[in-house]
Amino acid sequence: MKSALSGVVVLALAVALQSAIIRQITLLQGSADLVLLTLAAWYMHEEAPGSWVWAVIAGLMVGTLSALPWWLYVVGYGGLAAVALFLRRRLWQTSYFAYFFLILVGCALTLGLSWAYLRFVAGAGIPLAPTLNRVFFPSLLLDVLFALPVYSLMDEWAAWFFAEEPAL
Amino acid sequence: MFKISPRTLRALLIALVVIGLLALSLGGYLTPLTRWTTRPVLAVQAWLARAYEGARLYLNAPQDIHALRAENQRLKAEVSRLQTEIVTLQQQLTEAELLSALLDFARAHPQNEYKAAQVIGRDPNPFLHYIIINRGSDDGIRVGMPVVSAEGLVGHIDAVLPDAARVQLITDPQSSVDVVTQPTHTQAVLVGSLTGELSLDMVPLSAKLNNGDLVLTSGLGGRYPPNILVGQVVSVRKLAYALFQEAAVQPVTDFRQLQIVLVIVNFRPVDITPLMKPQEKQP
Repeated sequence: MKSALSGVVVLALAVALQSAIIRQITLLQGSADLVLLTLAAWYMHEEAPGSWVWAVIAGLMVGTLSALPWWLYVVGYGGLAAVALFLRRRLWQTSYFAYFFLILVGCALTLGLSWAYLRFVAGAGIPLAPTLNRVFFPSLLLDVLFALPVYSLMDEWAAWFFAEEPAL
Repeated sequence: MFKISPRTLRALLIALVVIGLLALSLGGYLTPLTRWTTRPVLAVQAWLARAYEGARLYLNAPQDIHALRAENQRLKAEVSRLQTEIVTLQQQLTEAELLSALLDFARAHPQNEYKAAQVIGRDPNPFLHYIIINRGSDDGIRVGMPVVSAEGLVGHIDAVLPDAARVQLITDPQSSVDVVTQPTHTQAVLVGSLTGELSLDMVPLSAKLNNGDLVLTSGLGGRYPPNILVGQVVSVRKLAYALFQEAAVQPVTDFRQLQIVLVIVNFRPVDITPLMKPQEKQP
Protein backbone atom coordinates (compact mmCIF):
# COMPACT_ATOMS: atom_id res chain seq x y z
CA MET A 1 0.00 0.00 0.00
CA LYS A 2 2.78 2.37 0.96
CA SER A 3 4.65 1.45 -2.21
CA ALA A 4 1.56 2.15 -4.31
CA LEU A 5 1.01 5.53 -2.67
CA SER A 6 4.63 6.49 -3.18
CA GLY A 7 4.26 5.32 -6.78
CA VAL A 8 1.33 7.67 -7.30
CA VAL A 9 3.38 10.61 -6.02
CA VAL A 10 6.57 9.84 -7.94
CA LEU A 11 4.82 8.88 -11.17
CA ALA A 12 2.47 11.88 -11.06
CA LEU A 13 5.53 14.11 -10.84
CA ALA A 14 7.19 12.19 -13.69
CA VAL A 15 4.09 12.44 -15.89
CA ALA A 16 3.76 16.19 -15.22
CA LEU A 17 7.45 16.77 -16.02
CA GLN A 18 7.17 14.61 -19.10
CA SER A 19 4.18 16.51 -20.46
CA ALA A 20 5.30 20.02 -19.52
CA ILE A 21 9.06 19.97 -20.10
CA ILE A 22 10.66 16.75 -21.35
CA ARG A 23 8.26 16.46 -24.29
CA GLN A 24 9.51 19.81 -25.56
CA ILE A 25 13.14 18.64 -25.55
CA THR A 26 13.13 16.84 -28.86
CA LEU A 27 15.72 15.32 -31.13
CA LEU A 28 14.16 15.16 -34.59
CA GLN A 29 10.71 13.85 -33.58
CA GLY A 30 11.95 11.75 -30.66
CA SER A 31 11.75 12.63 -27.00
CA ALA A 32 12.74 10.92 -23.77
CA ASP A 33 10.18 8.96 -21.76
CA LEU A 34 10.65 10.03 -18.16
CA VAL A 35 7.95 7.68 -16.92
CA LEU A 36 9.67 4.71 -18.53
CA LEU A 37 13.02 5.75 -17.02
CA THR A 38 11.45 6.18 -13.58
CA LEU A 39 9.83 2.75 -13.78
CA ALA A 40 13.03 1.09 -15.00
CA ALA A 41 15.09 2.72 -12.23
CA TRP A 42 12.53 1.69 -9.61
CA TYR A 43 12.35 -1.92 -10.77
CA MET A 44 16.14 -2.13 -10.90
CA HIS A 45 16.38 -1.23 -7.23
CA GLU A 46 17.03 -4.39 -5.27
CA GLU A 47 14.77 -3.49 -2.37
CA ALA A 48 11.82 -2.38 -4.52
CA PRO A 49 8.85 -4.74 -4.21
CA GLY A 50 8.39 -6.86 -7.30
CA SER A 51 4.82 -5.85 -8.03
CA TRP A 52 3.02 -4.61 -11.12
CA VAL A 53 1.34 -1.77 -9.28
CA TRP A 54 3.74 0.96 -10.41
CA ALA A 55 3.44 -0.12 -14.07
CA VAL A 56 -0.37 -0.06 -13.91
CA ILE A 57 -0.39 3.34 -12.19
CA ALA A 58 2.02 4.75 -14.78
CA GLY A 59 -0.05 3.33 -17.64
CA LEU A 60 -3.27 4.81 -16.30
CA MET A 61 -1.72 8.22 -15.68
CA VAL A 62 -0.07 8.54 -19.09
CA GLY A 63 -3.14 7.03 -20.76
CA THR A 64 -5.36 9.70 -19.21
CA LEU A 65 -3.20 12.44 -20.68
CA SER A 66 -2.45 10.90 -24.05
CA ALA A 67 -4.67 10.55 -27.10
CA LEU A 68 -3.75 6.89 -27.39
CA PRO A 69 -5.84 4.35 -25.42
CA TRP A 70 -4.83 3.89 -21.79
CA TRP A 71 -4.54 0.12 -22.09
CA LEU A 72 -1.76 0.55 -24.63
CA TYR A 73 0.41 2.19 -21.97
CA VAL A 74 -0.61 -0.34 -19.32
CA VAL A 75 0.48 -3.15 -21.65
CA GLY A 76 3.70 -1.32 -22.57
CA TYR A 77 4.76 -0.49 -19.04
CA GLY A 78 3.49 -3.88 -17.85
CA GLY A 79 5.80 -5.53 -20.37
CA LEU A 80 8.64 -3.41 -19.05
CA ALA A 81 7.83 -4.55 -15.51
CA ALA A 82 7.75 -8.19 -16.63
CA VAL A 83 11.19 -7.93 -18.24
CA ALA A 84 12.55 -6.10 -15.18
CA LEU A 85 11.24 -8.71 -12.76
CA PHE A 86 12.58 -11.48 -14.99
CA LEU A 87 16.01 -9.84 -14.95
CA ARG A 88 15.92 -9.45 -11.18
CA ARG A 89 15.17 -13.13 -10.72
CA ARG A 90 17.80 -14.28 -13.19
CA LEU A 91 20.64 -11.95 -12.33
CA TRP A 92 22.52 -12.27 -9.08
CA GLN A 93 23.01 -8.54 -8.91
CA THR A 94 21.30 -5.90 -11.04
CA SER A 95 23.75 -3.66 -12.83
CA TYR A 96 23.82 -0.59 -15.02
CA PHE A 97 23.98 -2.91 -18.00
CA ALA A 98 20.66 -4.45 -16.98
CA TYR A 99 19.23 -0.97 -16.49
CA PHE A 100 20.23 0.16 -19.98
CA PHE A 101 19.00 -3.11 -21.45
CA LEU A 102 15.69 -2.54 -19.73
CA ILE A 103 15.49 0.98 -21.18
CA LEU A 104 16.14 -0.39 -24.67
CA VAL A 105 13.43 -3.03 -24.27
CA GLY A 106 10.97 -0.58 -22.71
CA CYS A 107 11.54 2.03 -25.42
CA ALA A 108 11.07 -0.57 -28.16
CA LEU A 109 7.97 -1.94 -26.46
CA THR A 110 6.14 1.35 -25.80
CA LEU A 111 7.03 3.00 -29.12
CA GLY A 112 6.44 -0.23 -31.05
CA LEU A 113 3.00 -0.63 -29.56
CA SER A 114 2.16 3.02 -30.26
CA TRP A 115 3.31 2.73 -33.86
CA ALA A 116 1.45 -0.53 -34.42
CA TYR A 117 -1.77 0.92 -33.00
CA LEU A 118 -1.54 4.10 -35.06
CA ARG A 119 -0.61 2.25 -38.22
CA PHE A 120 -2.91 -0.77 -38.12
CA VAL A 121 -5.82 0.28 -35.89
CA ALA A 122 -6.10 4.06 -36.29
CA GLY A 123 -5.03 3.96 -39.93
CA ALA A 124 -2.46 6.75 -39.73
CA GLY A 125 0.01 6.69 -42.58
CA ILE A 126 3.22 6.35 -40.59
CA PRO A 127 5.81 4.27 -42.45
CA LEU A 128 8.28 2.14 -40.50
CA ALA A 129 11.55 3.62 -41.78
CA PRO A 130 10.85 7.24 -40.76
CA THR A 131 9.54 5.90 -37.46
CA LEU A 132 12.87 4.25 -36.74
CA ASN A 133 14.99 7.14 -38.00
CA ARG A 134 13.04 10.08 -36.66
CA VAL A 135 11.35 8.72 -33.54
CA PHE A 136 12.77 5.48 -32.18
CA PHE A 137 16.53 6.05 -32.35
CA PRO A 138 16.40 9.72 -31.25
CA SER A 139 14.07 8.76 -28.39
CA LEU A 140 16.40 5.94 -27.35
CA LEU A 141 19.39 8.30 -27.40
CA LEU A 142 17.57 10.85 -25.24
CA ASP A 143 16.44 8.07 -22.89
CA VAL A 144 20.06 6.98 -22.47
CA LEU A 145 21.12 10.60 -21.82
CA PHE A 146 18.52 11.01 -19.11
CA ALA A 147 18.99 7.50 -17.72
CA LEU A 148 21.76 8.10 -15.17
CA PRO A 149 20.33 11.27 -13.60
CA VAL A 150 16.95 9.56 -13.22
CA TYR A 151 18.61 6.46 -11.78
CA SER A 152 20.48 8.58 -9.22
CA LEU A 153 17.31 10.41 -8.19
CA MET A 154 15.34 7.19 -7.89
CA ASP A 155 18.21 5.62 -5.93
CA GLU A 156 18.05 8.53 -3.47
CA TRP A 157 14.28 8.23 -3.31
CA ALA A 158 14.45 4.47 -2.70
CA ALA A 159 17.13 4.93 -0.01
CA TRP A 160 14.93 7.49 1.75
CA PHE A 161 11.80 5.38 1.25
CA PHE A 162 13.19 2.12 2.57
CA ALA A 163 15.06 3.77 5.42
CA GLU A 164 11.73 4.59 7.02
CA GLU A 165 10.61 0.97 7.05
CA PRO A 166 10.58 -0.34 10.63
CA ALA A 167 13.24 -2.93 11.29
CA LEU A 168 11.89 -6.46 11.88
CA MET B 1 71.37 115.48 17.29
CA PHE B 2 68.90 113.12 18.66
CA LYS B 3 70.10 109.96 20.06
CA ILE B 4 68.65 106.60 18.94
CA SER B 5 68.40 104.14 21.66
CA PRO B 6 69.77 100.65 21.06
CA ARG B 7 66.30 99.26 21.59
CA THR B 8 64.80 101.39 18.84
CA LEU B 9 67.69 100.58 16.62
CA ARG B 10 67.07 96.86 17.14
CA ALA B 11 63.40 97.29 16.32
CA LEU B 12 64.21 99.22 13.19
CA LEU B 13 66.71 96.55 12.15
CA ILE B 14 64.19 93.79 12.68
CA ALA B 15 61.57 95.74 10.74
CA LEU B 16 64.02 96.25 7.91
CA VAL B 17 64.92 92.55 7.87
CA VAL B 18 61.20 91.58 7.87
CA ILE B 19 60.38 94.05 5.11
CA GLY B 20 63.37 92.81 3.16
CA LEU B 21 62.33 89.19 3.59
CA LEU B 22 58.76 90.05 2.57
CA ALA B 23 60.03 91.86 -0.48
CA LEU B 24 62.30 88.95 -1.40
CA SER B 25 59.44 86.51 -0.82
CA LEU B 26 57.01 88.53 -2.91
CA GLY B 27 59.62 88.75 -5.60
CA GLY B 28 60.01 84.96 -5.62
CA TYR B 29 63.62 85.01 -4.59
CA LEU B 30 63.01 82.89 -1.48
CA THR B 31 61.21 80.01 -3.23
CA PRO B 32 64.25 77.68 -3.44
CA LEU B 33 65.04 78.40 0.15
CA THR B 34 61.40 77.79 1.17
CA ARG B 35 61.31 74.58 -0.79
CA TRP B 36 64.57 73.39 0.75
CA THR B 37 63.39 74.11 4.26
CA THR B 38 59.77 72.82 3.93
CA ARG B 39 60.57 69.55 2.16
CA PRO B 40 61.78 67.70 5.25
CA VAL B 41 58.90 69.07 7.26
CA LEU B 42 56.35 67.97 4.70
CA ALA B 43 57.95 64.56 4.45
CA VAL B 44 57.71 64.08 8.18
CA GLN B 45 54.12 65.34 8.12
CA ALA B 46 53.16 62.93 5.35
CA TRP B 47 54.75 60.01 7.18
CA LEU B 48 52.86 60.94 10.34
CA ALA B 49 49.59 61.23 8.42
CA ARG B 50 50.10 57.83 6.81
CA ALA B 51 50.96 56.25 10.08
CA TYR B 52 47.89 57.72 11.70
CA GLU B 53 45.62 56.61 8.86
CA GLY B 54 47.09 53.12 8.97
CA ALA B 55 46.56 52.89 12.69
CA ARG B 56 43.00 54.18 12.34
CA LEU B 57 42.16 51.68 9.63
CA TYR B 58 43.73 48.86 11.60
CA LEU B 59 41.73 49.74 14.67
CA ASN B 60 38.42 50.23 12.80
CA ALA B 61 38.81 47.42 10.24
CA PRO B 62 36.69 44.69 11.92
CA GLN B 63 33.72 46.98 12.22
CA ASP B 64 34.08 48.13 8.61
CA ILE B 65 34.32 44.58 7.25
CA HIS B 66 31.24 43.60 9.16
CA ALA B 67 29.39 46.64 7.87
CA LEU B 68 30.62 46.02 4.31
CA ARG B 69 29.57 42.39 4.42
CA ALA B 70 26.13 43.36 5.63
CA GLU B 71 25.90 45.99 2.91
CA ASN B 72 27.07 43.47 0.32
CA GLN B 73 24.43 40.97 1.40
CA ARG B 74 21.77 43.63 1.28
CA LEU B 75 22.85 44.72 -2.19
CA LYS B 76 22.97 41.12 -3.42
CA ALA B 77 19.46 40.54 -2.15
CA GLU B 78 18.36 43.75 -3.83
CA VAL B 79 19.97 42.68 -7.14
CA SER B 80 18.25 39.27 -6.92
CA ARG B 81 14.91 40.92 -6.22
CA LEU B 82 15.36 43.30 -9.13
CA GLN B 83 16.41 40.51 -11.47
CA THR B 84 13.34 38.50 -10.47
CA GLU B 85 11.23 41.56 -11.07
CA ILE B 86 12.80 42.05 -14.51
CA VAL B 87 12.08 38.44 -15.46
CA THR B 88 8.50 38.76 -14.20
CA LEU B 89 8.01 41.97 -16.12
CA GLN B 90 9.48 40.44 -19.28
CA GLN B 91 7.09 37.50 -18.92
CA GLN B 92 4.19 39.88 -18.41
CA LEU B 93 5.29 41.88 -21.44
CA THR B 94 5.43 38.74 -23.59
CA GLU B 95 2.04 37.68 -22.31
CA ALA B 96 0.60 41.13 -22.97
CA GLU B 97 1.95 41.06 -26.53
CA LEU B 98 0.41 37.62 -27.04
CA LEU B 99 -2.92 38.74 -25.63
CA SER B 100 -2.81 41.86 -27.77
CA ALA B 101 -2.25 39.73 -30.87
CA LEU B 102 -5.09 37.41 -29.82
CA LEU B 103 -7.32 40.44 -29.28
CA ASP B 104 -6.51 41.64 -32.79
CA PHE B 105 -7.46 38.21 -34.12
CA ALA B 106 -10.73 38.25 -32.16
CA ARG B 107 -11.56 41.73 -33.47
CA ALA B 108 -10.89 40.56 -37.02
CA HIS B 109 -13.40 37.72 -36.55
CA PRO B 110 -16.19 39.30 -34.49
CA GLN B 111 -18.70 36.59 -35.41
CA ASN B 112 -16.94 34.12 -33.08
CA GLU B 113 -16.90 33.92 -29.29
CA TYR B 114 -13.57 33.03 -27.79
CA LYS B 115 -12.21 31.60 -24.59
CA ALA B 116 -8.48 32.08 -24.01
CA ALA B 117 -6.51 29.15 -22.65
CA GLN B 118 -2.91 28.53 -21.68
CA VAL B 119 -0.92 25.62 -23.07
CA ILE B 120 0.21 23.57 -20.06
CA GLY B 121 1.55 20.43 -21.67
CA ARG B 122 1.91 18.15 -24.63
CA ASP B 123 0.95 14.56 -25.34
CA PRO B 124 3.66 12.33 -23.81
CA ASN B 125 3.79 10.17 -26.96
CA PRO B 126 6.27 11.39 -29.60
CA PHE B 127 4.08 10.09 -32.44
CA LEU B 128 1.24 12.42 -31.56
CA HIS B 129 0.88 16.18 -31.97
CA TYR B 130 -1.51 17.16 -29.21
CA ILE B 131 -1.39 19.92 -26.60
CA ILE B 132 -3.05 20.18 -23.20
CA ILE B 133 -4.77 23.46 -22.28
CA ASN B 134 -5.92 24.71 -18.88
CA ARG B 135 -9.62 25.11 -19.77
CA GLY B 136 -12.14 22.30 -19.59
CA SER B 137 -15.79 21.48 -19.37
CA ASP B 138 -16.16 23.76 -16.33
CA ASP B 139 -15.30 26.66 -18.65
CA GLY B 140 -17.77 25.61 -21.32
CA ILE B 141 -15.24 23.80 -23.51
CA ARG B 142 -16.72 20.93 -25.51
CA VAL B 143 -15.27 18.25 -27.77
CA GLY B 144 -14.87 19.39 -31.37
CA MET B 145 -14.55 23.12 -30.73
CA PRO B 146 -11.98 24.76 -33.04
CA VAL B 147 -8.83 26.23 -31.52
CA VAL B 148 -6.94 29.14 -33.04
CA SER B 149 -3.91 31.27 -32.25
CA ALA B 150 -3.22 34.89 -33.07
CA GLU B 151 -1.80 33.75 -36.41
CA GLY B 152 -4.37 31.18 -37.49
CA LEU B 153 -5.76 27.68 -37.08
CA VAL B 154 -4.29 25.43 -34.39
CA GLY B 155 -6.62 22.42 -34.22
CA HIS B 156 -9.70 21.23 -32.40
CA ILE B 157 -10.66 19.96 -28.96
CA ASP B 158 -10.21 16.20 -28.85
CA ALA B 159 -11.02 15.38 -25.22
CA VAL B 160 -12.23 17.33 -22.22
CA LEU B 161 -11.69 17.07 -18.47
CA PRO B 162 -13.37 19.38 -15.92
CA ASP B 163 -10.41 21.77 -15.84
CA ALA B 164 -8.30 20.78 -18.83
CA ALA B 165 -8.70 19.77 -22.43
CA ARG B 166 -6.66 18.03 -25.09
CA VAL B 167 -6.27 19.67 -28.50
CA GLN B 168 -5.39 17.78 -31.65
CA LEU B 169 -3.08 20.00 -33.70
CA ILE B 170 -3.50 20.18 -37.46
CA THR B 171 0.08 18.83 -37.74
CA ASP B 172 -0.91 15.51 -36.17
CA PRO B 173 -0.55 12.51 -38.53
CA GLN B 174 -4.24 11.69 -38.03
CA SER B 175 -5.46 15.22 -38.67
CA SER B 176 -7.25 16.30 -41.85
CA VAL B 177 -8.78 19.70 -42.53
CA ASP B 178 -10.88 20.76 -45.50
CA VAL B 179 -9.28 23.86 -46.95
CA VAL B 180 -9.48 26.20 -49.90
CA THR B 181 -6.62 28.09 -51.50
CA GLN B 182 -6.71 31.78 -52.33
CA PRO B 183 -6.81 33.27 -54.91
CA THR B 184 -7.07 30.07 -56.96
CA HIS B 185 -10.16 28.79 -55.05
CA THR B 186 -8.97 25.20 -55.13
CA GLN B 187 -10.55 22.80 -52.66
CA ALA B 188 -8.19 20.38 -50.93
CA VAL B 189 -7.59 18.37 -47.79
CA LEU B 190 -4.78 19.48 -45.51
CA VAL B 191 -3.11 16.57 -43.73
CA GLY B 192 -0.49 16.43 -41.00
CA SER B 193 2.43 14.06 -40.75
CA LEU B 194 4.80 12.39 -38.31
CA THR B 195 7.33 15.20 -38.79
CA GLY B 196 4.73 17.92 -38.25
CA GLU B 197 4.85 19.05 -41.87
CA LEU B 198 1.59 19.97 -43.58
CA SER B 199 0.61 19.03 -47.11
CA LEU B 200 -2.37 19.40 -49.39
CA ASP B 201 -3.89 16.16 -50.52
CA MET B 202 -6.67 15.17 -52.92
CA VAL B 203 -5.99 18.03 -55.32
CA PRO B 204 -6.90 17.06 -58.89
CA LEU B 205 -4.18 17.50 -61.50
CA SER B 206 -6.37 19.96 -63.36
CA ALA B 207 -6.76 22.24 -60.35
CA LYS B 208 -4.76 25.43 -60.18
CA LEU B 209 -2.25 25.60 -57.37
CA ASN B 210 0.62 28.06 -57.15
CA ASN B 211 3.44 28.76 -54.75
CA GLY B 212 2.43 31.52 -52.38
CA ASP B 213 -1.28 30.69 -52.42
CA LEU B 214 -2.93 31.24 -49.06
CA VAL B 215 -4.60 28.23 -47.44
CA LEU B 216 -7.82 28.85 -45.47
CA THR B 217 -10.41 26.59 -43.94
CA SER B 218 -13.27 25.97 -46.35
CA GLY B 219 -15.93 25.05 -43.81
CA LEU B 220 -16.64 21.77 -45.62
CA GLY B 221 -16.95 18.78 -43.38
CA GLY B 222 -18.45 20.88 -40.63
CA ARG B 223 -15.48 20.62 -38.30
CA TYR B 224 -14.05 24.12 -38.67
CA PRO B 225 -15.63 27.49 -39.49
CA PRO B 226 -14.65 28.86 -42.91
CA ASN B 227 -11.99 31.46 -43.72
CA ILE B 228 -9.53 30.82 -40.90
CA LEU B 229 -5.99 31.23 -42.16
CA VAL B 230 -3.95 28.03 -42.02
CA GLY B 231 -0.80 28.64 -44.02
CA GLN B 232 0.77 29.24 -47.39
CA VAL B 233 1.68 26.93 -50.24
CA VAL B 234 5.47 26.73 -50.50
CA SER B 235 5.92 24.05 -53.15
CA VAL B 236 3.75 22.13 -55.58
CA ARG B 237 4.55 18.64 -56.84
CA LYS B 238 2.68 17.47 -59.91
CA LEU B 239 3.47 14.06 -61.39
CA ALA B 240 2.02 13.11 -64.76
CA TYR B 241 1.16 9.54 -63.74
CA ALA B 242 -0.38 10.47 -60.38
CA LEU B 243 -4.09 10.97 -59.80
CA PHE B 244 -3.62 13.98 -57.57
CA GLN B 245 -1.05 16.70 -57.16
CA GLU B 246 0.54 17.45 -53.80
CA ALA B 247 1.63 20.67 -52.20
CA ALA B 248 3.67 21.47 -49.11
CA VAL B 249 2.16 24.08 -46.81
CA GLN B 250 3.99 26.33 -44.39
CA PRO B 251 1.70 26.86 -41.38
CA VAL B 252 1.25 30.40 -40.10
CA THR B 253 1.26 29.16 -36.51
CA ASP B 254 4.54 28.21 -34.85
CA PHE B 255 3.38 25.08 -33.05
CA ARG B 256 6.59 24.78 -31.00
CA GLN B 257 6.06 28.20 -29.42
CA LEU B 258 2.37 27.93 -28.59
CA GLN B 259 1.64 29.51 -25.20
CA ILE B 260 -1.87 30.90 -25.34
CA VAL B 261 -4.67 29.82 -27.68
CA LEU B 262 -8.29 30.79 -28.27
CA VAL B 263 -11.11 28.26 -28.28
CA ILE B 264 -14.06 29.23 -30.46
CA VAL B 265 -16.88 28.37 -28.09
CA ASN B 266 -19.91 29.34 -30.20
CA PHE B 267 -19.09 27.00 -33.07
CA ARG B 268 -20.89 23.68 -33.11
CA PRO B 269 -19.05 21.09 -35.21
CA VAL B 270 -21.08 18.75 -37.37
CA ASP B 271 -20.23 15.07 -37.29
CA ILE B 272 -20.74 13.77 -40.83
CA THR B 273 -19.24 10.36 -40.16
CA PRO B 274 -22.63 8.57 -40.24
CA LEU B 275 -23.22 10.01 -43.70
CA MET B 276 -19.88 8.69 -44.93
CA LYS B 277 -20.08 5.14 -43.58
CA PRO B 278 -22.58 3.72 -46.13
CA GLN B 279 -20.38 5.01 -48.97
CA GLU B 280 -17.31 3.36 -47.49
CA LYS B 281 -19.10 0.02 -47.32
CA GLN B 282 -19.77 0.09 -51.04
CA PRO B 283 -17.40 -2.09 -53.06
